[in-house]
Amino acid sequence: MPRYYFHIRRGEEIAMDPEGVELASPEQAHKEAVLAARELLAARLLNGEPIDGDTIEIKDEQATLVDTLPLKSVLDPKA
Amino acid sequence: MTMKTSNVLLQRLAAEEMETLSAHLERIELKRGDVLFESYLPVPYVYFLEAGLSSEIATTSGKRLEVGCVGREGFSGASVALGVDVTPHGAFMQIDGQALRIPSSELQAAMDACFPLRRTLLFYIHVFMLQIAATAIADAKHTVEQRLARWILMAQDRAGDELPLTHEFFSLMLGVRRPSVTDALHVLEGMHCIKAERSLVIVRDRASLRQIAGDAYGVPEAEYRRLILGDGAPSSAD
Repeated sequence: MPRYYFHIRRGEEIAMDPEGVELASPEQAHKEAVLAARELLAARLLNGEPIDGDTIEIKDEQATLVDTLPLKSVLDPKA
Repeated sequence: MTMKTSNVLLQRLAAEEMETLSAHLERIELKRGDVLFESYLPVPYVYFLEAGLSSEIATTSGKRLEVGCVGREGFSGASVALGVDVTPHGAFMQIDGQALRIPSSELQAAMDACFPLRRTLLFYIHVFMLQIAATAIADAKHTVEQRLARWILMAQDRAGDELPLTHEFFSLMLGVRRPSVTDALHVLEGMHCIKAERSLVIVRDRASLRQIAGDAYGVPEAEYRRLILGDGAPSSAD
């Protein structure tokens, strides 16, 4: 199975995921990112932290960008 | 000749008490992932850890969550010391180490025969209950950063400054998704409390970690010092 890395961009800063996780497909990676974004978004809101520019960047083993998910996008439960 | 050990509970025993026990103690190397006891199965041995770190795990909706951790300050298998045959929890090693293990029935017999051993182990179980309560409090009342800081402090207490732990493991420990761990480690690293590398967290500034953890850390630790180490009166942390 391919390995996907979930880096978290906070404005100019980026929290690197050095380990990644094995998932079946890019769709699976997207689903995983949605669940992660909900959790991160909820924590940011509770802590009163800004969320505007924050995104999850999904990269593959070649460090190619597979998907970008703004945290705010998961405010819509159908996202 | 009395067996030497770096387990702090066994160190509290008098030489003759340790001698009675040592006939049944066996030193064993433990690797990450080694199971110490399993959910709802008889607990064959109690492990007095001398190095490394183990986790006691509860399972909810098929997900595993750490409720407590044990290193050389304690022993794994509190239920045995309470006379219970099986427990819903499980335990396994997080960081390689070693232990003196004793068959559960031998430990129960020794506790019946030796009051100081019994008292020391029951004091420790009281502290372990406080640790589990502190985990519940942290999960309910503290942010992921605070919980991560608490957990790193507890791991440092037991295993030193270099903690070979993956984001995946932290995710299990804290009951959050892996990206929340990535995010929180980044925050702590930005504050120069830790250095996070692939599968390795290095503690750089314990005082700052204490500050971030706040009262999420320290209550069981203070009770341990009071009851086990005989260090001072009842007090809050520090």
